[in-house]
Amino acid sequence: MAEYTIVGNSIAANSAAARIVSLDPGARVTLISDEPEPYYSRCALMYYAMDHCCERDIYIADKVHYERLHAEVVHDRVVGVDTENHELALESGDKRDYEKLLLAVGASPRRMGIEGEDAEGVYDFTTLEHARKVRADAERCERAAVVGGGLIGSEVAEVFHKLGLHCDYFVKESTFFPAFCSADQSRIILRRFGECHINVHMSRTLDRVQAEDGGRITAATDTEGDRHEMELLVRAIGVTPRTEFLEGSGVDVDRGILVDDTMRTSAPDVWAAGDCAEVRFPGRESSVIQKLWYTAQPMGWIAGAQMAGADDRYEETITYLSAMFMDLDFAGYGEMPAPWNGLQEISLTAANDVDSARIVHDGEKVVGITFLGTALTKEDCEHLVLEEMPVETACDTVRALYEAKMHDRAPKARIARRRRLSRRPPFWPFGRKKTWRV
Amino acid sequence: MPLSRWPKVPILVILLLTTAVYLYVTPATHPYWWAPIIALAVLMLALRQWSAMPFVAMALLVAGFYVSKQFGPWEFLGMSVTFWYAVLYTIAVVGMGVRFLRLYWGRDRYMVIRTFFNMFAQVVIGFALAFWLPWEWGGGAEDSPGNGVFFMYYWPLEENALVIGEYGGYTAVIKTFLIWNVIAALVIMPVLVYFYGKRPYCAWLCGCGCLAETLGDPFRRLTPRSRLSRRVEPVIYPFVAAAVGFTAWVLLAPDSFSEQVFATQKWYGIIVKFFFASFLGVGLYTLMGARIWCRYFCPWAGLFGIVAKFGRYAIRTRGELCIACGMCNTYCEMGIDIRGFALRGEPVKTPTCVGCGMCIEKCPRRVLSFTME
Ligand SMILES: Cc1cc2nc3c(=O)[nH]c(=O)nc-3n(C[C@H](O)[C@H](O)[C@H](O)COP(=O)(O)OP(=O)(O)OC[C@H]3O[C@@H](n4cnc5c(N)ncnc54)[C@H](O)[C@@H]3O)c2cc1C
Ligand code: SF4
Ligand code: SF4
Repeated sequence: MAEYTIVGNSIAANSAAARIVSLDPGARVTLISDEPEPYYSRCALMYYAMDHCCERDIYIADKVHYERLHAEVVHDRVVGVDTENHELALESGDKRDYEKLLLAVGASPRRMGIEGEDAEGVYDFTTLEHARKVRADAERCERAAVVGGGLIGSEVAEVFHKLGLHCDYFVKESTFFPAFCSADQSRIILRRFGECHINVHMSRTLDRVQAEDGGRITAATDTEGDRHEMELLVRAIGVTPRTEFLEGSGVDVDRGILVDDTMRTSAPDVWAAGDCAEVRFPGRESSVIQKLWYTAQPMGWIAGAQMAGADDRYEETITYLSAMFMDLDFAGYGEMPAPWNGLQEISLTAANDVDSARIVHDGEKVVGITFLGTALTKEDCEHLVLEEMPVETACDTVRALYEAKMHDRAPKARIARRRRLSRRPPFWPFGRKKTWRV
Repeated sequence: MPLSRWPKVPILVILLLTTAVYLYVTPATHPYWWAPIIALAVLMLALRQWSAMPFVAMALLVAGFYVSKQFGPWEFLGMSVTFWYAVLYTIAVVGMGVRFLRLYWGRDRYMVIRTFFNMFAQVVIGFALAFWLPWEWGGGAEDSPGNGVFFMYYWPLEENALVIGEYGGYTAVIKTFLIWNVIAALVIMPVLVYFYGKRPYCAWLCGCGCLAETLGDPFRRLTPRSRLSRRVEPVIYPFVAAAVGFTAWVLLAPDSFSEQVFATQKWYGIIVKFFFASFLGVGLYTLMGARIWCRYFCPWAGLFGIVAKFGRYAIRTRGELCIACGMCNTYCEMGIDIRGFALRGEPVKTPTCVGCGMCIEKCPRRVLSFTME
């Protein structure tokens, strides 16, 4: 019977709470979150923003969720941690004692650091509140833009496309998602964006944002000096672990909150898990920050176990990543190094010019593999990577996969209709029109 | 309370119920039989319940057909009201089936094949076989064109299927129907359900299912999926008991042709088949999604749901890939909490799943797949 305090109310926090309660049925858990909503799926924000589901559909917590976790949710922001006195400082001015503390605070969006960035109509896209704003604004806009060539950026571009907006998409790199995609895959993805009338501007970011008198964004200039008109801009240039409130608290912070494989931080009775944690495996020099739903879950699980007294350890598993670029499935397994430290790649493309694979190897053995379109199952890929298959075997496996699908036609892009505000009927009698959309 | 926050659904259901009863007790030959329909429409307009208008229209269409069938059996171009109802039904299935095919063509083979089969089943079994094929051996087609026999409705959804001959004698078509039902409903279906779940019937063959999968597709997201809606699912079992009990009664009663049997049959027809299956079943499409009848009332679904629960059909979930986005729940027309199963890593095995495959199609991470355990 102990008290547990968890900062955060997302996947890492809730999976830790679930583990704590399963190990210590008398536990009392407090979740402190600066978001007023109950536990929801961050990955579903794009579906909410493009109206493929309603708000209640992305909530994972139902009415009895917190009851089951013996948890109380406090809506407040933690602004300081006093590890000596075991005390949290909250934004509302309150102080709060803790017995055992888990920091599952996630990551906050990066800023571009350019002129005019604070104009109205420039949003991030990491919380439900952001998604609500984007969705509401998209209703009355015709031109939107996204900056950032990552997963969130491409999701937002898809949102704008599905909502029927004109979309400019700025990507700093010269090929799309270079850490994960081969040149061929990048070309195929870009072609798909093109088919859906998303104007992708490669090798460009934004330089300056122009706002009208009221403070609302009207246009932006890119690094090549071209001016693009826009009424809505989403900034998705990556996220950084949220650590600023830990300054001077005695919790060691480097890029993220430093933890070992028990998720324990340098301060006593403080753990960290999820996007904000930087894991240093004992006996290894480098550390990893994994900013994925898939990794936040086991991290929270391990942290919960450790807090409740069990001795589970976080093991680095093969990185697994899955995404969708428009309607193309994308999956990656194993190492996908951004700088090519001695690794080489082999690119394979199927006859339909959509299915393609990139096999990363160190000359003999496979270390990572990514797929666009048809993919081997996760288990198969794990075998390829874990058992350190010779490259030839891996290539043959993938070629056989593509051979078998040789006569399948490539899936056609599903192109949404461009919306023009003036064409909308001034008065639509059926209130539920939106919910009927497929 | 502002008008927009009124509990619309119960109010509407009560109003429509009243209207339906009025229509039922007022002969359609009465000069002002249409008055309550107009009154209801005006009331809806006055209340600004615009969103309910499609519901009103659909429910009243069904009610109108049913009432006129009972009281003013009209004919048009020599064909009966049942025939024209089937025409409308077939147009809806084929037309909306084409819409569905356009959406999923080239991206989900299961959906495409299933929809083709839906259209085929409705056109051939639900329409041509019932009305066009020359039934040399008498039966419905002879005495009135359009008194069709539908070979896609099996016992106990068609609660008379096993005793139908008791009403009008054993003509050839009735005999065929009876034998077919004994084979299909009592032998083939249990085996299929054991291995494939309710999928072959509910999502492929059944007429209600064909309509729900095509005409009902745009309304999937209106399906109730609260905890309460899941908890009231067992209301289906009284309907199972009623249908099975009725059949047993007719079969076991020494003189099954009593007045009582006829009266019971008539009221079963009004309450279950007209009110729940057609009037609410189709009427509620635009308010609560397409499968209200299938989920809460259908005796076949209730009975074979039990078989499915203990059978081998399931939807496999690879929980480690799930991002909890909830798209599966949003588009499941039976209101199943698929995400809950996926997050726990359990296969989805419920008596309700009809195997439409939409959760599998909508999942952005390919977490779900049909399996046989
Ligand atoms: C649009 C989008 C799409 C994504 N898609 C995918 C995907 O497809 N696949 C995938 O694997 N990952 C995806 N991710 C990443 C994934 O959502 C994160 O990895 C995951 O949410 C991390 O969970 P977490 O619990 O560590 O932190 P978070 O989910 O970031 O939650 C942090 C919690 O801490 C609270 N908090 C933060 N600071 C404070 C404070 N000072 N005081 C009090 N409370 C605080 C917040 O309110 C929040 O509840 C996506 C992310 C976004 C934004
Ligand atoms: S669980 Fe899936 S297959 Fe079953 S009814 Fe729901 S959406 Fe259809
Ligand atoms: S749609 Fe797929 S990823 Fe999303 S909650 Fe359902 S099973 Fe999980």
